[in-house]
Amino acid sequence: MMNSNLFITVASWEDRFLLGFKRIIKKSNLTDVQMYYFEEYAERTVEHREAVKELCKKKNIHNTNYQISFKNSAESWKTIYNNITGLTKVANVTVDITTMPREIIWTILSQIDTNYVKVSYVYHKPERYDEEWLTRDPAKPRLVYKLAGMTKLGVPTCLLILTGYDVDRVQQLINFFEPSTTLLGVQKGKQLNNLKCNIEKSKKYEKEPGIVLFNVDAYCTDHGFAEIEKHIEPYINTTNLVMSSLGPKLSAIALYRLNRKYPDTALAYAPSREFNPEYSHGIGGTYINSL
Amino acid sequence: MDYNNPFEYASAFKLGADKIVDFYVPDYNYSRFIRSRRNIFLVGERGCGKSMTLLYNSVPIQQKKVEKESSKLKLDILCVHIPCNTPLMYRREYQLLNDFKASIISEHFLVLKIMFDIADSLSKIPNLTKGIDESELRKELGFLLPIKLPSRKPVLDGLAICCQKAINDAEKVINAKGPNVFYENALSFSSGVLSLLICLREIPKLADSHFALMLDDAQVLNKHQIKVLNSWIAYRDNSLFSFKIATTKVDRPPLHTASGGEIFEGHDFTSIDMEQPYQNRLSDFGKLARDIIRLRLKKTGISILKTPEEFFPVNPQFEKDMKKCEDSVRKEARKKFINGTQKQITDYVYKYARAKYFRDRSKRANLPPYSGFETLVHLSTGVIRNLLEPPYWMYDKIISEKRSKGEENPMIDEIPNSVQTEIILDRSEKKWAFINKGLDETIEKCSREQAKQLENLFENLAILFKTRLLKHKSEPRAISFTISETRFEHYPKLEKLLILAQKAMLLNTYTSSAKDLGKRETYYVPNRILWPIRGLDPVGQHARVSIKAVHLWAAASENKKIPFSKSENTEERGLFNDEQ
Amino acid sequence: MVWNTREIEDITKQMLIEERGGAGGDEKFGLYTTARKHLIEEILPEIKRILPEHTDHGIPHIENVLDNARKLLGDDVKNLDGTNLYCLILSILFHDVGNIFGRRKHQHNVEEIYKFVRPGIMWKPDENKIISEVAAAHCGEATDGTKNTLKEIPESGHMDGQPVKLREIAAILRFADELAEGPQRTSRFMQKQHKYRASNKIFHEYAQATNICIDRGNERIVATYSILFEIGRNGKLTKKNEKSILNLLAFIYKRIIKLNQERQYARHYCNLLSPFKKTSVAFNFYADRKLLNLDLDEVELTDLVVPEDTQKQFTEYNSEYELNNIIKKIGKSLLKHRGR
Repeated sequence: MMNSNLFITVASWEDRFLLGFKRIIKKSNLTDVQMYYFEEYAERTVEHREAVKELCKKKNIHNTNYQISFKNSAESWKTIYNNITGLTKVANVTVDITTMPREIIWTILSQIDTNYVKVSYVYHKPERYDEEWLTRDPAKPRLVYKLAGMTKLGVPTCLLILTGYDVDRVQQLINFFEPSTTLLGVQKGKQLNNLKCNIEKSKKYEKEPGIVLFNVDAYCTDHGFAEIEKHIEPYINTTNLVMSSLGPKLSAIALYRLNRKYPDTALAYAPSREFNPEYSHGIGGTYINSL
Repeated sequence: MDYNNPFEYASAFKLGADKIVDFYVPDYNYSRFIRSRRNIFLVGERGCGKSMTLLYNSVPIQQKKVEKESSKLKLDILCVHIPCNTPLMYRREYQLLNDFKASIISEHFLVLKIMFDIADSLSKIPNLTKGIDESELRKELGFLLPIKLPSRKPVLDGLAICCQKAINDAEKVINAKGPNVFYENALSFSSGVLSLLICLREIPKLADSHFALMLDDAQVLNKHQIKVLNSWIAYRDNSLFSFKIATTKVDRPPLHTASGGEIFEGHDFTSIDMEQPYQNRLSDFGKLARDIIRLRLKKTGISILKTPEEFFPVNPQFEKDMKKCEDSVRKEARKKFINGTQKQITDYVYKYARAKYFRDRSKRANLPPYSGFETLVHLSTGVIRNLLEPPYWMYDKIISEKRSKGEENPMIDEIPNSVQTEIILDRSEKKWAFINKGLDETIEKCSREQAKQLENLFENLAILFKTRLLKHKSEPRAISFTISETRFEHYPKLEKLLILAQKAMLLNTYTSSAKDLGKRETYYVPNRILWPIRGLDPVGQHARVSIKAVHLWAAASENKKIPFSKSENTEERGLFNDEQ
Repeated sequence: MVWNTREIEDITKQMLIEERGGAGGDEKFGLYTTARKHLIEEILPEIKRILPEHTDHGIPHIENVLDNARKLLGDDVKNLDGTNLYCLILSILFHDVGNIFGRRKHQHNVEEIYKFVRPGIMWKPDENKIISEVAAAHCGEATDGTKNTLKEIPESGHMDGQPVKLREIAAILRFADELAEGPQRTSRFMQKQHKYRASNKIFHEYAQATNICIDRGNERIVATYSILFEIGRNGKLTKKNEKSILNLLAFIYKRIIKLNQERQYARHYCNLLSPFKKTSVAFNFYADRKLLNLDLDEVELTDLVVPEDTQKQFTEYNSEYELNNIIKKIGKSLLKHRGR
C-alpha cells in the first residue's frame, strides 16, 4: 500500500501506461495528477489521456495536462520547472517513469528532490517488447539542462553507457562525444529478449580498443548503482565523465543517484525521433521505491 | 591497439605526442598556411587529418619535436590547440536564457576555454618566463580574471588553474535550478583573450610572437559562439593572432557574424578542403599517401629499404593478366590509330586495358585479387584514415597468426597479397553491411525512409557502374558522377540524402571547373571501399558519369535502375583538371 | 533571354501594392516590366556589339546592379516607399542604355531609348525626367568639370504626385554600379586569346581579378583581389609576368582608392548608405593556381581624417603593398615552394 499525493506521469500509447495507472489509482490516495504529453505524439496518446481524465474525474482527483515537445526541449524544461517549483503543499510525489523519457525523468527528479518532499518512483515492466525495432532516427545526443556537471579542462572524456536494445546507438554516442574510454554496462539476464537484442549485439564491442564492458542489473534493488560506481570510480577525478542510459528505465534512477553523489559528472540523453507504435505490449511486474 | 602496428588509424588525440611527431607528414598544399597569419578553415569529414595537422603544429608537440632534435622552439608563430569537442561546449543552459544573455554566457565559456589552452600550451615551453619578474606579470594577469593567481605556482600554470576555477564558478551559477540564472562576471573575447595576448607580449621572448588559435571540431560550437567567432574573424588585427578552424564539411558552421554581417572566403579567411581527389601517383594525395606509409614503416622499424609498393605487393597473377590485357589493348589501339599519335594509343590503353581485365573474367571466377599499394591508395578515396585502416587490419591479422604459432616477436617485411585481398574484401563487405542494416540507427537526422533510400541509391549506383564496366563503349571505368538537370521537384530531398551519405562517410564531394565558362561544378565519388565486394575496379577512370537528378531520385525512392546507355553520359577529364 | 526576377523587384512590387492598392500597384509595376521587356529584348544585348572591347554592360550587369542595390539597402529598404523603389529600379534598368550610341557621354543618352520604350501616350514626362537625371549622375563629369555629379541633381522630385528622393536614388545607383565589378563582366577566353584591344585589356584583367561583397552587417565593403600568374620552368617569376603583375597591381591600387571615395561620396548624399563605414581590401596571389602565403594583412580604408593629412595612396595605408615588396614576397614564397 502506498501513500501518495501528487502523481507525475508522461502519457503514452503503450498498454502499460494505462494499465499501470489503473493499478496505481486503485491502491493509492492521489490528490493530483500531473500528466505531460508530447506534442509529436498527441494523436497517438489522446485515447489514453482521455481515459486517465475519466478515471481521475471518477475518483475526484485533480488532473492537469501539460504539452511538451521533443523539438523544443528548452520550453519543455521551463514547463516542468514552472509546474514543480509551484508545488508548496505537496508532501508526497510519485513519479511514474515507465513511459517517461530519461531526460524528463532526470529533470523532474532534480527539480523535485528537496528535503521536504518524499519522492517515490514507479516502473511497470511490459509483457513483451516489439521484436523488430523500438526507436529509430536518432537525434543529436545532448547534455541535460542543469545536470551537465562541472568541467575539468585539459582532460579526456569518459563515456558511460548502459546499453539497451538499440545497441547501434552506442556507436552514435561514441562518435558524438569521442571519449578516450567508453564503459559499457550491459543489462544481465534473458528477460524480454535481452539476450538476443542486447547481450549478443554488445559483444561486438568486446575487442574494440578503449571500450570496457561490464554487466549490470537495473532490476536489482539498487538498479545497478554499486556496480556502476565501481567501474566509474577510477575515472571520476581524471576525466570528464558523461553518463547515458539506453537500457531499462530503472537504470536511469541509478544514474541519477550517481549524478547526485558525484555532481561533477554529466548526464546525457540520446533522443530518437521515431518510436515504434508497437513499442511494447501488456504489463508485467511493477517496481515501486523511494528515491 | 598494438603499439607496434604501424598503421594505427585512431583519432590523433589517442596517438600521443611521440607518435604524432613520428607519424606526421606535412601536406604542402596547406601546411604552409597553418604557420601563417591567415585565418584558415580546414574542412573535411572525420579521418582526413584535420586534428593531426593542428596537433602536430601545436606548441606542446612542437616542443616535443625540438627536444627530440635537440634544437630550440621557434617563437615567431605559436599555435595553440583548442579542442572544442568537450562537455563544456555541449552545455545547453544558454537555451533557457534570452538571446542576449545566451550570447554572453556562451562567449564566456569559449573565451575561458581559449585562455586555458593558451596558458596550458605556453606552460610547456621551458624557461619562457626566465629572467622576468613573475609577480608583476601575475599582477597584470590577475586583473583579467576576478581571481588572484596563486603565487606559489609558475605564472602560466597559475593562470590555467584560474581559468579552470572561473569556468567552474560560472557553471555553479548556471547549474542552479532556475531558468534565468545568469553569470554576471562574463568575459568577452576582447576583455579575455585579447587582453591575455597583449599581456603575454610583455614576456620578452613573446614580444613579436603571433598566436595562431586553432579551434578543432568547431562545428560543435553553439550558434552564439559561432557568430562571435565569425565576428572576431571579421574584425581581427592579424598581427597578434589568427584563427585556424577545423570543421566537418557537412555540418560546417554558417558564416554570419553577431552584427548580422558575414565573413567572406578569400577575404577574411581561406578555406582548405582536406579531402583530396586521387587521380594518380603524381597527384598531391598520391605523394602524401606514399610519404605517410613510408614514414610509418620507417619509424616503427619495419623496413627502411622497402618501398610501400614492395611492402604491399600486387598479386603476381593479377599483374600478369593485366599485362596481357594491356598488350592486347595496345595491339587494338595500333590497329585503330594507324597514323595516330603515341598519346592516342596511351589514352586508349588507359581507358580499356583494365576494363578488358574485368570484362574477360569468367562469371564463375572469384572476385579479383585486389592488392597492391596503388589499389590501397585508390580505395582510400583521398581520406587518410581510409588509407590506414585496411593495412592496420592486414598487419594485425598477420601478427595474430604468427603469435598463435608461437612467434614471440614476429617480424613482418611485407603483407602477402592474399592477406591484402582478404582484408580488402572484408572491409568492403562491412561497408555494405553498414549501409544495409540501417543508417537511421547511427546517423543523426537520418530517418528510416532515408536509410532505405540510401541503401537503394548505393545499390543502384553499384549496378550502374558494374554495367558500365562490362559494357560501356568509351568510359567503362568511371566511378564518380555529376548530377545534371537539378531543376527538379524532388531535388532538395535528393540533396539531403547526399548530405547524409557524406555524413556516413559513404560519399565524398569535390569541386572542379566545369567545361563551360570556368564555372565550378560538384562531383561525387562514392567511397571506393564499396567496390571490391561487387567486383568493380576501385582504381577507376578519370571520367564522370553524368546522371540526371530525376534518375538518381527514382533510384533512391523507388529502387529503379539508373538508365544506362553504352555510349553517352560521360564527361572525360584531363588528368589534372580537378582543383582543390 | 529569360529574366530571373531579382529580390528588389519583388519588394518593389509589394511596396507599390501597399502604397497604391492591389490594382494600382500591379498597374504601376506592369509599366516597369514592360520597359524591362523592351530593354532586355532589344537594347541591352546589343550593347556588346557596339562596345565589343568593353566589360559587360548588358543584362548580367543590370542584374548585378539590382542585386547590389538590394544588399546596400538591407533592412532600410523599408525606408523607401514603393514609388521611390520603382524609380530606383527603373533607373538601374536604364542607366547604361546610352552605350548603344557609344561609350562617350553615354550617361546623357538615355532619353532617346526611353522614348523608344515608352512610345506615344506611354511616354511620361515625370518618369523621363527622373531617369535622365539619375542616369546622368552615375558617372562622368558635372557641369563644373568636377566628378561631383550628384550635387547637380535636385534633392527631390515627384512622380504620380508622390515625392521622389532623387539624389538618394542617384547615390544608390551610382554606388551599386561601382560595386558591380567582377569576373562576370569579362571573358577569360577572350582574354586568353588576346581578343581585347591593348587599351582595354587592363579593365578586363581588373574585372577578372576583382570580387566585391557588400557586408552591411559588418559595416563594410569587402574587396578581394585574386592575382593569378604562371611561373616559369625554373619555378621563378618570368620578367613578362612580373611586369604584368605590377601593371595590374598599380591599376588595382588606384581603383581601390576610387572605390573608397565612391563609398564616402555615396554616404555623404544618401543616409541609407551610412552603415558602410569602411572598405576592407585583401589580396590573394596564385602561382599556377596554387595560393601563395605572402602573409599580407588586409587593409582597411576608413573615414578617419587626420588633420593635415593629404589623400593617401594605397601603399601608404600599408607599406607591405609597395610593388617591389610584393615581387620580393612572391619570389620568397616561390623559393620556399621549390625547396620542397
